[in-house]
Amino acid sequence: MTKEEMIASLKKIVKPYIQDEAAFQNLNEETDFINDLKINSANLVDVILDVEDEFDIEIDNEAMEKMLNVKAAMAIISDKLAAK
Amino acid sequence: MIGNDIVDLQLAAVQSDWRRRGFLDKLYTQHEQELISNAKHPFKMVWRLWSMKESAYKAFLRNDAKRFFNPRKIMCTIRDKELGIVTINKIKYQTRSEITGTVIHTVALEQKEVSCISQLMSTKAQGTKDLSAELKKTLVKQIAAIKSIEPLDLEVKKDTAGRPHCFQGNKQLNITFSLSHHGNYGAYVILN
Repeated sequence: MTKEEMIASLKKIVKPYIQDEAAFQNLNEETDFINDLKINSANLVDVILDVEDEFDIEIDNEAMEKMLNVKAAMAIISDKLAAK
Repeated sequence: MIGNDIVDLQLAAVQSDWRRRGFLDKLYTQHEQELISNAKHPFKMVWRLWSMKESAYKAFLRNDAKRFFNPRKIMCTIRDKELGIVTINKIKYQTRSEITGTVIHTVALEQKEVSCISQLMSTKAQGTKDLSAELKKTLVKQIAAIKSIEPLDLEVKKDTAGRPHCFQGNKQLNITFSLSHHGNYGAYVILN
């Protein structure tokens, strides 16, 4: 999976929860889920559960801890996919 | 240190499905999940515990701590209908939750003796469409009164870690507060 494909997938996953349209349109690696996309933190759990479903991986609490932005999410996903 | 969190229960019911597979396991410890399943109103307990974690986390972050997303590391115990204790990295926060049919407001404080000013607002009561702006306006007026300065000079801004500070021009005022806004409700608390 290329970086662009992963970002496109993530964009689809976060879409229902975002509360900042401009930040969503400009979504890039540095985009922060809570500070930029204004995803409310209770919905961040939903993002993580959706990512687990979409990529068929398990994200343990240790990995989830740093999953605050797109870059971190991509690193964790790649990591878990490689471990399969 | 102080933190607060507001949950608009009607909005929470729409935004999140706490019964979703995996949801409780990601957010709540075994003990907390027991509190939820034993509660008279599990839905309210889910959000009370959540607001306890959020408010304590915000207080925790004020100590220059680094942001993290691991709700199970933020551990709650309940004393009674209002009071509870949240532990983060061995630091204990006392929490007090105000719970009605439509909203939960929780305040977390690091020490029991310390008091605070608390203000809850709703779009209904304020008759305003922009509750967030109204909340900041009222907060700024309150801070101005405490500091005996002109409210028009003051501005509330968040830093890169999401922590709010009050500025008079470029000068950051020495006052600790927290604000929270969700749906039709907003609240701020100021450490005395």
